[in-house]
Amino acid sequence: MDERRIREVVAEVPERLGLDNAAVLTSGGQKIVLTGELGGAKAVAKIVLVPDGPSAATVIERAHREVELLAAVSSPNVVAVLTDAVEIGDRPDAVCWAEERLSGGDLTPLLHTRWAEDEVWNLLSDLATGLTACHELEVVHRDLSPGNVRRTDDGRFVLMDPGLARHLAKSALTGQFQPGTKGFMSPEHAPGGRPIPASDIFALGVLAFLALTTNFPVPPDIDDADYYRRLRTEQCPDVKSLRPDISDELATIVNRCLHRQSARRFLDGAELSSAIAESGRGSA
Amino acid sequence: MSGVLLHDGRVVGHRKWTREAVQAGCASGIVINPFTTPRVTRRQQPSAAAFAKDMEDLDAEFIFDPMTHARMLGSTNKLDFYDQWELWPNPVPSLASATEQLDHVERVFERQNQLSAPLLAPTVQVSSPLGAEAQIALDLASVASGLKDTAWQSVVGTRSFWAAGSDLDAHIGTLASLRAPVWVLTVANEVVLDSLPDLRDTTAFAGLCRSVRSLSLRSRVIVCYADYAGLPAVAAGADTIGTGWHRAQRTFDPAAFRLDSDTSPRRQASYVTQGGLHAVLRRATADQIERWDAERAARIRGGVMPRTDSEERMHHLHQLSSVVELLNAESSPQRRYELLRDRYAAAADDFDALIRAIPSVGTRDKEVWCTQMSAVLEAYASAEGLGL
Repeated sequence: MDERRIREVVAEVPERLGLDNAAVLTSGGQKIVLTGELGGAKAVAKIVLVPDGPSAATVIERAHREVELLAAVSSPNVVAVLTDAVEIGDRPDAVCWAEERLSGGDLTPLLHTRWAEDEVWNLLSDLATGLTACHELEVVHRDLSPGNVRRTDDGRFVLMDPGLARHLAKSALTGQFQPGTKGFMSPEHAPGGRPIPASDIFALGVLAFLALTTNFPVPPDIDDADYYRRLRTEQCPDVKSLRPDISDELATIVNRCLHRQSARRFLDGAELSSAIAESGRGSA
Repeated sequence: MSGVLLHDGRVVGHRKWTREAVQAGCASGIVINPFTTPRVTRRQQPSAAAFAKDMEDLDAEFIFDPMTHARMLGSTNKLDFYDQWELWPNPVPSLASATEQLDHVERVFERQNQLSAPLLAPTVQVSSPLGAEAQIALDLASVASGLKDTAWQSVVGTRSFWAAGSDLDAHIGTLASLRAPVWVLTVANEVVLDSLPDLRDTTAFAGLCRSVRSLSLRSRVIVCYADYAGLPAVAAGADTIGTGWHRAQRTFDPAAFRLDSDTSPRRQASYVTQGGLHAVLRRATADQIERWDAERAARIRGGVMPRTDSEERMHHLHQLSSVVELLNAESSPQRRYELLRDRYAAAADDFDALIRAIPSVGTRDKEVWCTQMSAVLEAYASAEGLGL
């Protein structure tokens, strides 16, 4: 798509979504984000540009799925969608929608230093709440990674961008390559696998492990075959071996999230939330 | 309820023996199936409703297993009772489509409701967690759970399925997410040559134990057609094992569902259970042990010598249910493992003494009844970090 057409698309979006005082916030790759106000509340408009070629249909489908999912989920720990997905152009050239505008930023720059135990409890608690909302709808996020989790200025953790999520009952998953971010994949992400809610729990365990230790439980800087083999056949190290100062309760929960066998993990967000509540820790 | 469940049998006397075993506290209930028990009473074959009433009167467990996994075997053609149950809309059963799966599960549940039996979902036999049959098994389980989220679920796999390592674990994990209150597991034999247990495939039976441990974290687990071969699984967390009077009740034998097979008891042989060995030896051997050292024989046997086959039936169930109860009294995986490990060690010592003293007791007896089972237990325990 040429620059002129992109400018036309960006210009059309505020009117189609009813976004006031629109301005470009970020622009990169196939995604543009506008800020503005929707009904007086702070909002962002997300614009996904549709590429030429055979991947166009997939991009359109993924955008609609993300909006459909977000619209069905109601949780303070999952970003709220404010409009339906709207297609721009006849082809279409782009798909756009509006979401609540959250303060803060994603976790990527925050994972280079060790977090305090309380903050990790909050991470686990908040994202377990967000995942519960998804899993109750039989939806697996499949790409729970630092870029898809936001920490707001008031310390709340919010799940973002479920663009790769799948509804368990609506898709045949056997034998397909499962998308995700290397380093944050679960054993079920390996080729031929079948991500389930417990796969999101594993990814959350990776985030917690990384936050506590600045190390990956299974390092991603190895070739893909070895990475998948280690995911499938090796148990992650005990988090307490790298952070002996943390409580046994937290270590138990993180280690269980990272169990190689999905049946031995918390099966979903609700089960993890219950365990955190029983420990008396996490966000109020 | 937990302990020992009696699998279905066509032998005359099955109903009477079942009642006696439950009344004596040697069995906790029965599992009937549509191949063996008719829907409508036929001559000497009481109907399923009669068994259900018996168990209700005795406050015992009554399970109707649709055994769809047996019906779908290519060799199965013993359908005289099965067809009465009308578990399929068409003469040729098929689970290829979602509609067919739903129809079958609904029919199974309807029959179970009529018998006031727990809803136990049908399944298919799986040889690989990655194949098409595994997907059908998952689909059936999902349909059943969608119809009734408290439905019990079945897993039936051949040795290659239970030996599939991380693929097995992933399959079990997917099933576990259904949160069935009870899991009913079966190791499906492809061929059964004799009455002896066959646990040579240590990897497969350790896989079974690992799966039992995983599923028992949230649910009750029953291991069908197991008899003494099921004890490692009980150590891993199962609370009940299936057994019976004869081979086709103690191990899953596909020949039991074939018209041209004869799985009825072999009348020429009589056996005596040796509770301390977790073994069933020929009566002639039991007599030799008795003559060798009566006091030691009584300890190894676990009581007085059963004089008749009738007494042996009860003796066997008593010995088996006693060890299951003993294991169930321990709640920690470590203690359950240690208890059975110590029993196998004691049995190995007794076998060694018998092999030295009794000509008809051979190393093969020790191998099938003790060494192989102990190897399975140790493989499971080692992987779980219990053997340290």
